[in-house]
Amino acid sequence: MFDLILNPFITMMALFYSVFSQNIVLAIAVFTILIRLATSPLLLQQHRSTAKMQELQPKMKKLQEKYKNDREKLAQAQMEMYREAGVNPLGGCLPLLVQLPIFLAMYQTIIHALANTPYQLIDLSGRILFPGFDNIVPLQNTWAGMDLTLPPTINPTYALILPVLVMVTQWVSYKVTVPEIPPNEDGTPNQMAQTTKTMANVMMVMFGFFSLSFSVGISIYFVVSNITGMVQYTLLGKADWGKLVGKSKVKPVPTSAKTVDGNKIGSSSTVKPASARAGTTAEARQNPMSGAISKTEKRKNNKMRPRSQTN
Amino acid sequence: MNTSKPSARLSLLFLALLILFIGVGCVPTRLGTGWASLRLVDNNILVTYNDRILLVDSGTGRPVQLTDNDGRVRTNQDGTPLRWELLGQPTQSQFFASPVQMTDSNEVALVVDYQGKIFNANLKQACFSTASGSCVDNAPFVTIQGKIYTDVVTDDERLYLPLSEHDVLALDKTSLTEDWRFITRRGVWSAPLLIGENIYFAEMGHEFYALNAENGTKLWQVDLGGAVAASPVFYDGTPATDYADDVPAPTDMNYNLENGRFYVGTFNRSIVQISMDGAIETVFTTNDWVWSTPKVVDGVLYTADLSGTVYALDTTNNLSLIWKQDTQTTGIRARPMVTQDSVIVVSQNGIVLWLNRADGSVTLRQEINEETLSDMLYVPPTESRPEGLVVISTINPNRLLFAFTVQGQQVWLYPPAS
Repeated sequence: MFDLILNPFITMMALFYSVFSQNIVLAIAVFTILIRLATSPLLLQQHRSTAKMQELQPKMKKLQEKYKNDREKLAQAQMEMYREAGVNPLGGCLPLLVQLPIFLAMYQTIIHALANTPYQLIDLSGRILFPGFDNIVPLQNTWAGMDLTLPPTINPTYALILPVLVMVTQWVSYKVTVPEIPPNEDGTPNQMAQTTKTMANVMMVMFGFFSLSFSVGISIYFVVSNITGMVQYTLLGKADWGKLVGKSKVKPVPTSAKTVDGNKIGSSSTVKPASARAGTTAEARQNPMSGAISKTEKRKNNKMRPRSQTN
Repeated sequence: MNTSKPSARLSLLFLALLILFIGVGCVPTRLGTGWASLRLVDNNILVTYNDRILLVDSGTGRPVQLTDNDGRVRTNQDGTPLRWELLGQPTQSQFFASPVQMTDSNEVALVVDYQGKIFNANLKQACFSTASGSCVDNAPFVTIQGKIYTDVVTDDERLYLPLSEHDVLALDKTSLTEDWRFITRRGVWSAPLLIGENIYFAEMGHEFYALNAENGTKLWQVDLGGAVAASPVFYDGTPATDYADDVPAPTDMNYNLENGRFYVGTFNRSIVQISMDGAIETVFTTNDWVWSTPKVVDGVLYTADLSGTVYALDTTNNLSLIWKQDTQTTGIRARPMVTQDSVIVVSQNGIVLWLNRADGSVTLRQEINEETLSDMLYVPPTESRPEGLVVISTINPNRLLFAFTVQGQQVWLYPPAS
């Protein structure tokens, strides 16, 4: 079943290898970029959905507080809220799940295309769907003195730079592409933000470990994939490179609309310096996009309040 | 207070990552490395596979037991008979190449592992040994630069090692020092041929070479248009005398070099006929890659490709097609075996077919239901067994060897079913 995705991918890889003067690294890079571009709509949809969900957080909290003892009513109210807002609650996850087999196939493509043992090559023989690539097999699997089928630990010492690059690009990608989740209304750190941060760190270490354990070809894929993702986010205007140097263009604001009014600034001030608060408030007012979220929320909340109270 | 939906999303994300990592983790175990090499030694079958070399009685399919100088079976401390088994575990070795018996001694052999370590082994006692044959725990070894995926060949003076990444290496057989190294573009995955004073081999980088075996000087090379992973064959028109002529040819045989031709299958979907001076004479196009070493008997070349098609080609008439048979199986990697009436082939998915030699029609079908990639071994008849055997090796160590009579009746299975 998985072969339905994998075999066309391997054939495509052979095609790129053939087109790009039998340079396997170039073939991996171009194919990775194309795959990332092809999945851009899914990425965009995921991003939009996440942003919408984030907008709904204050309302969600209110509903949770209101129906904390009645899970059934809470679920109904949540669904109603999603319906009104035109949001699919799984909208952020489904694109990810759709992308998963594609990225898995990409990973497996590299493993299979760089067949290095007789058994692997026998396996590859049935996977190239069109004749015409027979004379390029087996694909050249060495590059810059490294055997791309072996882990960096078995390659020359300088190959160890690749796991480092994987981790660095993974970390930078997280920093610039994942929107900062604001603290809670009472100034305490948002648990979702904490979880996301922990997961990002775990993933960074995990990918570093994988890069050490698996072939160098996979590390190249990880690096190119991470860089392409960052470029995509930048082109979409979703990347915040300022976060790398502590100058984020979007300052995190507490999730409640009350922060705009300043009524509850005191609680936020326990975790933020005054300058940051001023910046946040000013930017929220100046920047139609960043401010609009809070102001719109406020308006929506005001509209929602009597309705939810009547419920 | 935490929200439930973000947690659900994160849980899904974790689940997705878990699936990814499981998928990632499964890859290295799914893809193996190679398959067994079989060789007949004193009517026993020497099986070289993965991390061990073992000896199986060709008559019974039972493991050969170790005996002492008086012929008594050796046992361990609890009285269990000891099997003839050379394990790679102590030296962390994996084997593709059959041991090479030394001409001056039937007891001591050279064992070459995948990583390029060369050991002495005492074949009588099934142990790694010193050069003189004394069994030792930490056997000395020589390491060469390169890995080995196929059988090595030897003459009186040298070992010729085809290296999987690139090059062919010739070592002095006694001192194991390098005599010469011929640099190739890509790996050499098939055993070279020694014909007369020359060595002939093909590489994954499309080239077929002829070298002077003594000093490694190139005589000629020719581009075959595709990678070659199967050994070439040499045919000089000599009629077949028996079916067991699969071992690399010794140099002292009398060849009719004037009439000789090389035949080699390529990944470029072809069988190529090459003259003794390195000219491509004829190319026959196949349906798929050819990884099967051809077999030439009485002027007819039999081969198979990875689409599962078997071909009979006339070597006396520019490789013209005599017949072809689509076996409706998976690919065929193993070399066909030719008997008086039949061409026997085994497919990757373990279907053994007996084809009529005259027209390629299927006369018998047996299923062993195991993945099969190794070349078959022919075991000649003995006094007690009037019919020869066809031994087939799978990649499953629990059902490693199947023996059939040449007429297609299964005789034994190794290891025996408990």
